[in-house]
Amino acid sequence: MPDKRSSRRTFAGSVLFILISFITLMVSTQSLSGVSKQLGLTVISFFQQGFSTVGSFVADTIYSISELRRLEASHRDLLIQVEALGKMEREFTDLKKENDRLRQLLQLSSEAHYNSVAARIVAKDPGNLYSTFVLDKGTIHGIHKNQAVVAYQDGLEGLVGRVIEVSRSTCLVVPIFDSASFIAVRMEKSRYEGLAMGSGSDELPLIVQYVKKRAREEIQFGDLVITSGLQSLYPAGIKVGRVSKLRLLDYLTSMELEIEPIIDFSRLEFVFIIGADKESSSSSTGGGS
Amino acid sequence: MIRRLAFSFLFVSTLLIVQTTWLDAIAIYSVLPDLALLAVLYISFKAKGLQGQFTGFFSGLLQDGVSAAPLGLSAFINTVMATIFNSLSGRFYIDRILMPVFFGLSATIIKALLLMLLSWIFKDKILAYDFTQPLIWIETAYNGLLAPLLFLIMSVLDKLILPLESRHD
Repeated sequence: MPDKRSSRRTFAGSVLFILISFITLMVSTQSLSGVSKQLGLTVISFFQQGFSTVGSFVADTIYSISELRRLEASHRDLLIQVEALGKMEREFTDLKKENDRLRQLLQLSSEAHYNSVAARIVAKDPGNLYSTFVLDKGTIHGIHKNQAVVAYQDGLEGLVGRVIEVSRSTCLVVPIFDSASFIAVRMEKSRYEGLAMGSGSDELPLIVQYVKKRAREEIQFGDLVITSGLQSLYPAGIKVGRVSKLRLLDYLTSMELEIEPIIDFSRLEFVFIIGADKESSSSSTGGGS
Repeated sequence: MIRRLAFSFLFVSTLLIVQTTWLDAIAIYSVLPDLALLAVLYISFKAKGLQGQFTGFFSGLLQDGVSAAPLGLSAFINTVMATIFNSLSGRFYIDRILMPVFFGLSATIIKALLLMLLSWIFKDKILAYDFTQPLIWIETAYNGLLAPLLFLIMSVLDKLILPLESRHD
């Protein structure tokens, strides 16, 4: 008898937990969960940062042994290179002066057009269906929702994603390959516009839709695709990827492109969270004073 | 009782953090094993009562907090899984390898089916696995492979996690 009662109690408890979680799910899919999600992100990301730091420390210690040997060898090589570089430096100074003069002539700024905050990836999404990652910068660093995130790889600046949730010292970023990501893009050469969307995996290319069919003759493989700036989330001119495939579908009035992202997400460690335009932020500050 | 619940929750939460930080280094084609879910299964199967459901629910909420998934999704999945595996508690003997592998494989498939159902109910607000894509099969295999190891580690912590009457099941 008591056994029956206890199993009945267990069943009732299970149903209660399932109901509460289902109701939470119903509420959150209607996007009423901002506060609770922020709270969860704040608490767990504190520990994630700690674990990430410990992991990096252990990995760094192990790597440092082999790194030491490698450094010894490279030190010898570098001494030889220093001599050669001395000569190059003199040439570089001349070239830089010439470059500055030309930039002035072209009225171009020698720096980026926006302020940015450097951040490190401390954790990734626990589920395999979602691809967000956690950065170690939050509201105390001036980060807010919907800021664009970029990174530099092989000398190129590429779009990484955007901030979707911010806690005190961390933020959650959804990458451009996520299936919930949509980016207004433009072909850098031909200037045709389109809408890029993620395929859900960093292994798969992004799909660009709504590109006019007449652009077929002007778009080539390897063409650079940049943000158009039409969508207020991403500033214009950030490199998104390169065209890897063209698809002409008879039943569509536009064509589809596949693009390989500029950023290799598997080796992404540090990113930059883009703030307001330098010009607009300085003018607003000026207006206020 | 409260100490056991708190320890189970802390243990699963720690696995969750490990999963999101260190396990990235051993991801296969960017696919991570679901250690937190496996731990919830172990607790649900071994401990009678609501301990598994409690741990699953609260660790699921925590998981949703650091994910793009809607709040309540992992809590729901974990609680349902805990209820299913709790109902099997004491029905059969769990060995060191075969049963944990079976638990890992079946739990991942059930999770995928539940996500399909939720995705159908909530339309495009919840993502579901595509059974024709390798993602689900890699995760299933990974969970199946890691379950015996995790269950072995957890058996060492039985004293802290399980009530006295469940420790020799």
